[in-house]
Amino acid sequence: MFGNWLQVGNDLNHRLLASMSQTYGPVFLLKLGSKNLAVVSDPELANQVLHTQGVEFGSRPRNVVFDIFTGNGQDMVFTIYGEHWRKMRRIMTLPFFTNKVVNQYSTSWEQEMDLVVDDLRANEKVRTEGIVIRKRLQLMLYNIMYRMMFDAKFQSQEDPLFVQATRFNSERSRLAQSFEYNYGDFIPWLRPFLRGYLNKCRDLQQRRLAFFNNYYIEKRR
Amino acid sequence: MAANGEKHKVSCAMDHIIQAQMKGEISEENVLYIVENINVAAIETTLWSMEWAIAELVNHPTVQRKIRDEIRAVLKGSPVTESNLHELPYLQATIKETLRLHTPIPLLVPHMNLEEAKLGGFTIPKESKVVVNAWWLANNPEWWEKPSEFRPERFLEEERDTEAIVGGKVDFRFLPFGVGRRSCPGIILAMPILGLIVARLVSNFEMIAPPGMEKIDVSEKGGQFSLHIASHSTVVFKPIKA
Repeated sequence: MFGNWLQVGNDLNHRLLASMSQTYGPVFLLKLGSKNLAVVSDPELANQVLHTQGVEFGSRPRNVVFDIFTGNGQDMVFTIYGEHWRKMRRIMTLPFFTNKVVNQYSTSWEQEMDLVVDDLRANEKVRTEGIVIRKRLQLMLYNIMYRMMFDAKFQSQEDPLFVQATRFNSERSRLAQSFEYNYGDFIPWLRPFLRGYLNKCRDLQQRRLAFFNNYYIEKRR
Repeated sequence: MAANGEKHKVSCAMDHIIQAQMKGEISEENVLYIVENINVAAIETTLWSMEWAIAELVNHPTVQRKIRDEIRAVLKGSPVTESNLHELPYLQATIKETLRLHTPIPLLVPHMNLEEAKLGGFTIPKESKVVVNAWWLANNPEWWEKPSEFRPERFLEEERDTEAIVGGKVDFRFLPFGVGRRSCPGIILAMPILGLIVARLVSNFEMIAPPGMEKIDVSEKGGQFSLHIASHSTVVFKPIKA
C-alpha cells in the first residue's frame, strides 16, 4: 500500500536521491503509494530520457494540486506531450523566446537594472547596515517581465498591484511546492482528507487568474 | 475593454498571444495559463539564481574583483550591454558556476512516459514520474573536480568546452535548463539577464557581508521542485567611485 514511501519519506530532494543512486545505481524505481518514481543519475541515461527517447518521456506527471494550478494541463510547462503542447510552445516562442525579442527588450532590461543601482546608491543604510537585496531585485524582475508581457510596470515595492501580484504568486508557489499534500497524491483513498487543502488551492487560483485577467489581459484587448 | 480594439495593434507579448486567440488557435483559458506560467516559471526561478550568485560573490571577493577587472580591461569604460556580454568570458563562467552549484530546479521539471518504456535495461511502468537529477550530474566528484567549490575558473580551464545550452552539442553533465523538446525556452532571456545584473552590481559596488559577519549563509531549502537559499541574504553595497 505504501511502497517505499515510508522508508524514503517525503522530502525526496536532490541530495537524498544522489546518495540513493550510489546504492541503487544510475536508474532506480521507487514505489510511492500508487505512484512510480524513476530517478536518473547518469549523463548517458539523461540523454536517453531528454533526447533520444524524448518523445516517449516527453509528458509531465499529473498531481491533484498541479491539476488545479494548470487547469488540468491547459498551460505549456506542465501539459502532456502532444498537439496542445506543440501549439502552446510555438505561440509562446515568437513573443518571448527569440533573439529578436532579446534585441528588442535588452535596453529596457538595462534601464530597470540602472534603477536598482540608483536606488542602492541613494540609500545611506545600504552601505553601512546592508539590505535584503531580494526585494529590490524582485521588483526589477517583475518590471522586466511585465514590460515584455504587457507593456506595463510597477512604480515601487509598495505599489498595490505589485503587492497583490507577488502575494498571489508566492502563495501559489508555497501551495504547489509543499510536501504536505503528498499523502493524498500517493494514496488515492486518503484523498478525501485533502479536500480542505485543494479548496484553498482552487480559491487562490480563481482569485489570482481574475487578477491577471482584470488588471492586465483585458487592458490589451 | 476596447483599449486595443478591432485593429489589434501588436506591441507587447500579450498582443501576440491575444492575436493567436482571435485567430482561434488557442482559447481564452490558454491565454490565462500562459500568463500564469510566465509568472512562476520565468520570474521566481531567475530571482533564486540572482540571490545565489550574489551570495557566492559576497563570499568570494576575488571573483568580484576578477569580473570587475575583466569588464575594465575589455570594455575600457563603456557599459556592459547585452551585445557585449559575449566578450566577457569570466562573467559568463561565474553565471554557469552559480547554476552548476545551485541548480534552481535541481531535478528539472519531472517527465512522464504515457506508455511502458525501457531505460538502461529497466522497464519503466507507464505513467511513471521520471526525474533527472541535474544537480547530481553537475556535482558528482567522479565527473567534476572538487564540485562543492565555487570556482568559475573551471569553466575557463578543465571545463572550457562545457556550455549552458538546450540543444546541439550538449554535455549531459551540465543541464541547468534541461535539454531537448521540454527544455526551458527561457534560457535565451535568463542567461543575458543574469549576466547583465551581476555585471551592473559588481561594476558599481563592492558587495560585502553585513557588519559582524564574515560570510553569508548559503544553506539551501528545497520544495517539490525548487532549490533556493534558506535565508534571504542581507548584503552591504559599498559604492565604487566611478
